[in-house]
Amino acid sequence: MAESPAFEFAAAELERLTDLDHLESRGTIRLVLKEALFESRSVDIAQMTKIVEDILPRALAARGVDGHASICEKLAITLKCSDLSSSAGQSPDAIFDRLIRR
Amino acid sequence: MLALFGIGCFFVVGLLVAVRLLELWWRTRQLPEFLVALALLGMGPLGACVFGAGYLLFRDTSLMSFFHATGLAIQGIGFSAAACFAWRVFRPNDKWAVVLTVVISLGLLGDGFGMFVLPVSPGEFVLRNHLSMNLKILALGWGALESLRYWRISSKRAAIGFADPLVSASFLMWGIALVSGTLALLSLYAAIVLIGPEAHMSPPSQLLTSCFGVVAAAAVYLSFLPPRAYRRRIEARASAAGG
Repeated sequence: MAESPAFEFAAAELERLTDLDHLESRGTIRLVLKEALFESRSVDIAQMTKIVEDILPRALAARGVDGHASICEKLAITLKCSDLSSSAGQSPDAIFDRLIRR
Repeated sequence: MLALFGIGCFFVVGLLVAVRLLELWWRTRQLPEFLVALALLGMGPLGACVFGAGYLLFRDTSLMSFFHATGLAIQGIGFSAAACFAWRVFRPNDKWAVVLTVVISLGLLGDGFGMFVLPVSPGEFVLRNHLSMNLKILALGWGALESLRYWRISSKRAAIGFADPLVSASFLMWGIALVSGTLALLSLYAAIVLIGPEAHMSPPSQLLTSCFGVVAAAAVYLSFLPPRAYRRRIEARASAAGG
């Protein structure tokens, strides 16, 4: 099953910014997604950014990653500035949010 | 007259919401807003106006069948748009959803536009009508299931601060609107199959249609044009639940 671009991007960035290896970084992102009731195949960039800001610092701290707060801050900024931001607004939440706002 | 009240409510709300969503689509050029507007107009006021015009102005003339076919084609477009919306919003990456959308759309558009070539008179109910009715029920029923399924997930996320409670409530309302539409069609279909093609004109059938129309109208309104008091209530309830 293909993962969402937001998931792939966040996992790759986490691997680059920390000492976690490929599987550990993907597993960590998967666990924080699960905690927030999201799926790796459908999470979008806005949702991923919020999860990185709100849940990931705790998860990294629990794994003994040094500087977890600044890593998450960097990762959130990178997510916001990524090319993927142009495809934001395509999740059901983002679509309905646009449809109901006046 | 009984059915007119509920259907009238749905048509007025459908028109209001469709106009607002078309205005939004004009700015964003995004498909979902266009699809909902098309669905509401086609299933509601636009399709019915064409049917009504044919019935009132050209009854017992050759033009009546033209208006009947045009009304069916417009309705077909509306129901197809509802199915496309379910696919595009809730199942954009699932191949089976694409297949289901194509089957529903081809069936309904084929039935609507096929009416110009091989007309069936309004009083008849043949195999083609059965297929078209089943596809309409499938289009709305599928959309209802998808929206309510997503509302379940979204309401849990809202409870832990990862979804907007108002957006979550809109999934519920859109699901309720589609359930009402599905039940209205099912009750009409049951009456036609069990009693006869004219059974949908009977008072019990009209009363049911009217009730479903009112529920669908209220749900569509709360889903896409949530009034301030309703927004405040949802937000207050979410704040209270969040402590």
